[in-house]
Amino acid sequence: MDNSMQNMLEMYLYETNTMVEQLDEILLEAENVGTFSVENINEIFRIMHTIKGSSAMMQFNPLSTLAHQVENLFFFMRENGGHNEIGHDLFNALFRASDFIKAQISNIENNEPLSDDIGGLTKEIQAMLASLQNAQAGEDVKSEAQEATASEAEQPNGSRFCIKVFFDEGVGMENLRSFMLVNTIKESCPIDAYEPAEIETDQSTAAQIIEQGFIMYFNAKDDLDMAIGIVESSLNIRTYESMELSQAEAGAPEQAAPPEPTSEKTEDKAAAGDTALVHAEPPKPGQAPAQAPAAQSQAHPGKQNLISVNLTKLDKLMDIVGEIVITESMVTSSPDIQGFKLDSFTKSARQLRKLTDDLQDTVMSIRMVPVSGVFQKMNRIVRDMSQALDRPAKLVVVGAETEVDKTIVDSIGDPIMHMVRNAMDHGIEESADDRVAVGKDPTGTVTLSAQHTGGEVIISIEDDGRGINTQKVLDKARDQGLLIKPESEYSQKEILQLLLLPGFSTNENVTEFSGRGVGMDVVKKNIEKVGGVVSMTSEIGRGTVTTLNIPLTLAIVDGMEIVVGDSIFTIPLHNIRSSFKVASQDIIYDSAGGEMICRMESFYPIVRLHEFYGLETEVTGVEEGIVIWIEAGDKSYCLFVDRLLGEQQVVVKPLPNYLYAFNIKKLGIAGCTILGDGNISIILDIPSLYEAAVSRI
Amino acid sequence: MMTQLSQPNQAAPNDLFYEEEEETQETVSDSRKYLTFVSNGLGFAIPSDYVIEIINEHNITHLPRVPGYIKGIINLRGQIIPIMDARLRMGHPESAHTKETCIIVISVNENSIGLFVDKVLHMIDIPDDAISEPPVNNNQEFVNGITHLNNVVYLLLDCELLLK
Repeated sequence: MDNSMQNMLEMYLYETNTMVEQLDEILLEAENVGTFSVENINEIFRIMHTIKGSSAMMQFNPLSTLAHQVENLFFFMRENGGHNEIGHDLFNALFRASDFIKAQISNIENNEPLSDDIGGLTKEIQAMLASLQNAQAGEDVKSEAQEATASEAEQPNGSRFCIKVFFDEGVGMENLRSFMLVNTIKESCPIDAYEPAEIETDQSTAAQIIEQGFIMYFNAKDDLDMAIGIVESSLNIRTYESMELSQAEAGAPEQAAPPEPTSEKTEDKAAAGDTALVHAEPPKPGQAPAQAPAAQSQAHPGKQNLISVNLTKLDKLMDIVGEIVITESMVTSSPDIQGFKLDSFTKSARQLRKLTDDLQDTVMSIRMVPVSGVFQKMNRIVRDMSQALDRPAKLVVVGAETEVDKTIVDSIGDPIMHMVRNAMDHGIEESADDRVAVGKDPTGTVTLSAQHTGGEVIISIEDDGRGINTQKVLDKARDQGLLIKPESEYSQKEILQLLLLPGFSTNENVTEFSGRGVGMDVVKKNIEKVGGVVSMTSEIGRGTVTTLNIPLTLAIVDGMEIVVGDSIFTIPLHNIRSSFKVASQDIIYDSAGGEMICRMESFYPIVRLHEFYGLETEVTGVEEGIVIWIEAGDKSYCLFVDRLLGEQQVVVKPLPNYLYAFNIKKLGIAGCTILGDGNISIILDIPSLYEAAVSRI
Repeated sequence: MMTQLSQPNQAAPNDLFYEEEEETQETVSDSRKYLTFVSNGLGFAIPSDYVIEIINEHNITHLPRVPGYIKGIINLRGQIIPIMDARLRMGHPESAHTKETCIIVISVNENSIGLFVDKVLHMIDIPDDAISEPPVNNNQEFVNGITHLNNVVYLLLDCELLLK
C-alpha cells in the first residue's frame, strides 16, 4: 500500500471511528428518551451517508452495504416519520449495526479480512423499512402529490443555477469524488439534481465526468454560493464554472434530464446571452469565498475546530521543545557571560524564558485529551449488560472533561471497562426486588468520576450494589492458596487487595461478562504500567468503590536527582518516602549478608546502587552517603546513594531501541533525561529495580 | 521541449565526472564511497551511506549493566545515541584516549549508534571488483570483505552485524 493510500486509510479509520462513537451516543440518548428527535434522525442519516460514501470509496463493501440500508431507513423516517412504530427493535438493530461497523473497523485496523456476514442485519433493517412503507403507503400518495405540486409551483418562480466541476487530471475515482462532493454540499444546502446521476453505482460515469465535468443544479442563488464555497475548499478540484440558467430553459428539461448541451457550450452561450456566466475560473473574486465560510459555520454550529494530528508528530514536537528549554538555559547561564552586567541581554533572556515556558505548557496541553471518550463508551456497556442481566442500572458520569495525556487515556480504557463490568456483574444486586427490599432505588447506579489533584488524576468507579463480602473473599483466597498469614490478621484493606491478585475471581459462575479469573490483576497491571495505583473500598450493602490514581502525563516527571560516582540518576518524586543519614550500628544484616534497616517498626532491605550497577565511587561507607526510602505499589525498600542533587522536573526520553535489547528495562532503567547542562541523567524504574535487586537477594 | 531537456542531461554527467576526478584523482565505474578509520592498528572501511557524522570529544554517560563494548550514551543535540567501542566490540583491548580518537555516528536500519574509533582516515572510492571475500578461517566476524588499495589493506565492516 503506498503512502497516500495509507494516509487515506488512516483518515478513513479515524473518521469512521469518530462517527460510530457519535452514533452510539445519539442512540443511547434517544433510547433514554424513547424516541428519535428530528435532529437525531438527521444526524444518523448524515453519519450513515458518510460511512457509506467513504466505505465505498475505500471498497469496504459490507460496510457500505449496511450503511446504505440504515441510511435508507432513516431517509424514509426523515421524510415520513414513523419510527415510533418500530420501537425497541429499531434500537437493538441499530446497536447491532454499530457493533458490526466497529468490528469491521477493528478488522481493517488489524489487517484482517472483512466479514461478509451481514445478511441477517440488512434483512432486518429492510423488513423494518418495508413495514414502515406499507403502513404509510396511503399517506405517501398524498404527501408525494403535495410535494410534486409544491416543487412544480416552486420551479417556474426562480431560475435554476448550476455549477460544473472539473477534477484534477488523473486523480482517479472521479465518480466517487463527485459523490463525496455531493454529500458535503448536501450537508449545508439542498442540491436539486446532479449530472451524471448514477455516480455512486456506475463506474463508467467517471469518464464522463473527466470529459464533461460534474454538474450540480440548485434552485436558489444562496445555495449556489454556498456550494461554491465548499467546492473551493475541496481537494483535487482543478476548476469549476457556475452558471445561471434562464427561466425558459430551466423550466423545459425535467429534473432528471438536465440540459447537457447547455453546459457543454457554456462559453459560447454566455456570449449569446442565453445563459449568464456569473462566476468563472479562476475562483478568486472576493465576494463568494468570504461569504461561503461564514455560511458554512452557520450551518454547523456544533462543529468544532479540530484537526487530527499524528501522535508521532506531537512526540517530535515535544522533543524539540524539550531541547529548546535546555538550550535556552545553556545560553542564558553560559559561563562566557558570567560576571558581565548585560542589562538588555538579561531582559531578553527573561522574555525568552517566559516564552519557552509558555511553549512547553502549550505543547503539553496539546497532548492532553479529556477522558470523556473513554467514559462515553461505558454508557454502552452499562446499557447492554443491564439488558442482558435484566438488572435496571444507569451510569452517572462526573468530571468527564478532566484531561489526561493521550497515552494514558489509551491505556486506561480497558481497565475502566473491566471494572464497570465488574460493578454491573458482581456489584449491582441481581434483581430490582432485592434492591427494593433493602430500601434502595430499584435502578442501580454506577458512578464514573474523574478529578484532578495535583499531579494526579483520580478516577473512581463506584456502584451502589451489595458490596464485597470479605469473608467470601477470604474463603476463596484460602481455597486458592493465596493467603500468606493467618486469616484473622487480615485487615479489611488487605482482604480487598487479595482481589487484585492474579487468578482470583469470586464469581463461581463464569458469565459472558466476567468471572474468568483474569480480571482485577490485569487491571492492576495495566494501571501500574502507566505509573498508577489501584485501590478498593467496599461496604456490605452499600457498594464498592475502585479508585485509580494515575499520573497526569508520562512525558514529564518530577524527579530527585541523585549522584553515584560519576553518574547521575533520577528517582521519580512520587516514589520517594523520605531520605536520611544512617549510622552503621542501625544496619541489620540478614543471614545472606544483605543489609536492612528498621523504619517505622518494619524492616526494609537496602540496595546499594553503586554495587548493583557496578559503579566506581568513593562513597562506600554507609555513614558517608545517604539512604532514600522508596516505595512503589506494595514494594518498599531503601536505596543507598552518594548524595542528593535536588529536585527537578525532567522530560522523559526513551533510550535508543538498540539498548533495550540488553534487557536494561528489567534492571530498573526506565529511560533518561537531559539535564540543564546537557548531561544525561538515567531515570530509575523503582518497581523493576526492586525485582532485579531485592528479589535476587 | 526535447532540446531543453537534453542539455542539462548532457551537462550533469560532465559535472559529476569532473568533481569526482578532482576529489579522488581517478575514476572508476561501479564503485562505492567508503569512510576509512583505524582501530587497533587495522584499517577499516564502512560504506559512507551509513555515516551520519563524525564527532570529536563528547561527554559519555556510563550506562550500567550493559556489555562492556557499550561505553554509554551521549546527548547529540537532544538525540540519545549509544556509543560502541569498536575495539572492544571486535575483541581487542581498550586503549587510552588520544587527540585522534573520535566517534563516527552511523545509522543502521534507523538505529543510530556512535562507533568509538582510534582515528578517522578519509573517504575513498572502492571499486566493487577490488573487494575480495575474507578468507574462510577469518576470525574477524564483522568483516565481510577485504580490499587492497594504494598499498593499504582495508577490512570492510558489516555495520548490520555490528548491531546484532
